[in-house]
Amino acid sequence: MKITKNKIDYFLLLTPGLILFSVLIMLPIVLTIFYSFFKISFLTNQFDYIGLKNFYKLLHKKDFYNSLQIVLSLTIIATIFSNLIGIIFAKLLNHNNKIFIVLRVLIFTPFILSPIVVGYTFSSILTDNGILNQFLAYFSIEHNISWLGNSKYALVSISIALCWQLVAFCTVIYLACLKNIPSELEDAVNIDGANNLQKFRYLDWPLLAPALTINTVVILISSFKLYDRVLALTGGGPGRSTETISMLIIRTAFNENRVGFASSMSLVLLILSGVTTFVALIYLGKREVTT
Amino acid sequence: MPYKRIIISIFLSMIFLFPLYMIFINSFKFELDIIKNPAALPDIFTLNNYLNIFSRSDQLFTKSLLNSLLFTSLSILFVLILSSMLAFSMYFLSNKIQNIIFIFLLLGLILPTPIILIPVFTILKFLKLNNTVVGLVLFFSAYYLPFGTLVFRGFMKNVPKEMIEASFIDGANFLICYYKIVLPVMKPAAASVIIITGTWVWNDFLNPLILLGPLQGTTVTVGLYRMVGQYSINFGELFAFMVLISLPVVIAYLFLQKYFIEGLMAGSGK
Repeated sequence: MKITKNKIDYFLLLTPGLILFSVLIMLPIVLTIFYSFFKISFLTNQFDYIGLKNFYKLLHKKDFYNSLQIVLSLTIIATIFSNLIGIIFAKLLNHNNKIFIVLRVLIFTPFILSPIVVGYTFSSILTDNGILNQFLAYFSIEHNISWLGNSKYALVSISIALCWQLVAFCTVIYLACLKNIPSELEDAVNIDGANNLQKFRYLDWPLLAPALTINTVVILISSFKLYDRVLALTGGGPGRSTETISMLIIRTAFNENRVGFASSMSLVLLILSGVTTFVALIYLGKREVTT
Repeated sequence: MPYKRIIISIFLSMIFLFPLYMIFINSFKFELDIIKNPAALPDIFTLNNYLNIFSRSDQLFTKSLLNSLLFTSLSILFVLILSSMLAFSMYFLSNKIQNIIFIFLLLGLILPTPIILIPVFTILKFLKLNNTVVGLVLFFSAYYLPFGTLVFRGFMKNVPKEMIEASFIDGANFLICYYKIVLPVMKPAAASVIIITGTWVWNDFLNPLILLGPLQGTTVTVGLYRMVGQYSINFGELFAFMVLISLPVVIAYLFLQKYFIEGLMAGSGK
């Protein structure tokens, strides 16, 4: 359709959103790249060009490697477990009985809670004399585990809080996708005499490909920006053993006032999350077409 | 009746939803009861925790609630208007330009906000909008614009071309066409955008913490964080606070859950 009328009213519709988006999302991305070549302080208004120095410093920054490792392990754990449990829940609840309809509505509720609420909820379950340890004590299993205070277990605790919300999301998306599988296909597979495992491998799994793409991308984004849950659960501790990159960036910029240095970390996170998400989108998207 | 399946499903769902039950039930207990029997029903039922939160001398809860209501509703309104306008007007552009805009929006959609928070902070400071609700609303509107546009774009396909052409022949300009023809058709999309962006904005913690100023500004989530930071934790009040700030989104979800899930599918469908 051609734009034939006067164009002023058209641009009145098109531009406000684009301008706002450019100023508050695109410009900040450019500025992040720009800032990472400077030494900046909010307190003293310092603004000096220092070339690649921030990146040299980053190469030797132990905290950064530590955070990188934490975020990558949490991403891998979350991707595998949220998808796996999500599929199991979805297959289980994909039934037209009224009880299942109610359960399907309830199962999504964790996802709509604020991550910081989720963090405090799990911190009260996992504290040293919390429910989990009381429960373990009741069955006289080893119950002196400090789920949040011991760096070995703290990462497990965070994964649980993270996966809890993501499982809720994955389940609902898989369910929506399962609904679209035509019943004729299922009948055909039943006539062929396939067992349950074969049915899943050759019918559900390929047809769930679009849901797998959505879920994986959402999991990747949530893991890369992980902040609130960790703050509520461990505060990044014990020591720095659970400090995510986002936490390190915010601490460096706003507490230590090393804005340029923090920007160089942001840039690395931007490239890392951008590349990972795009690769996942393209790789999983291809799977959707071919199957 | 698939009894085995029902029993397994209910059992697993109960384990999965246990944390929700725990927050809720413990918000009606006295402190000692919570520590002694965290999973049991209350020995003595009490509303004290809730009353204490409402009657705090620093008015942390009421202030937080009003603030959150204000910037959440403003953000929803902005996202709704801006993204429906953008989705509608993109419809008239050539495919090539549409795709370019689309890629930029996609970039915004997958962007973790901590990456851009520093420059956003400086830009808002430059515009003299740092530490203000207006600045926060503008940021949220920009950040959720891609999602809204995607949802509306999906629904734009349902608007018949003939309807738009006919309105132009009748002498309508773009603004009238948008307002009279397209907006009414996009109502279900609007419901999705309202409930989803509303939930995200309401629940957000880090962005308001930084953009409203780490010291002054408060929202329901920041308020929760402040409460925990101030004294040694009183669990009962903590749980009551969490119930109160989660209730609005949970109720909205229960009423609009169809739109919630449709919107998520539409927003990520392409």
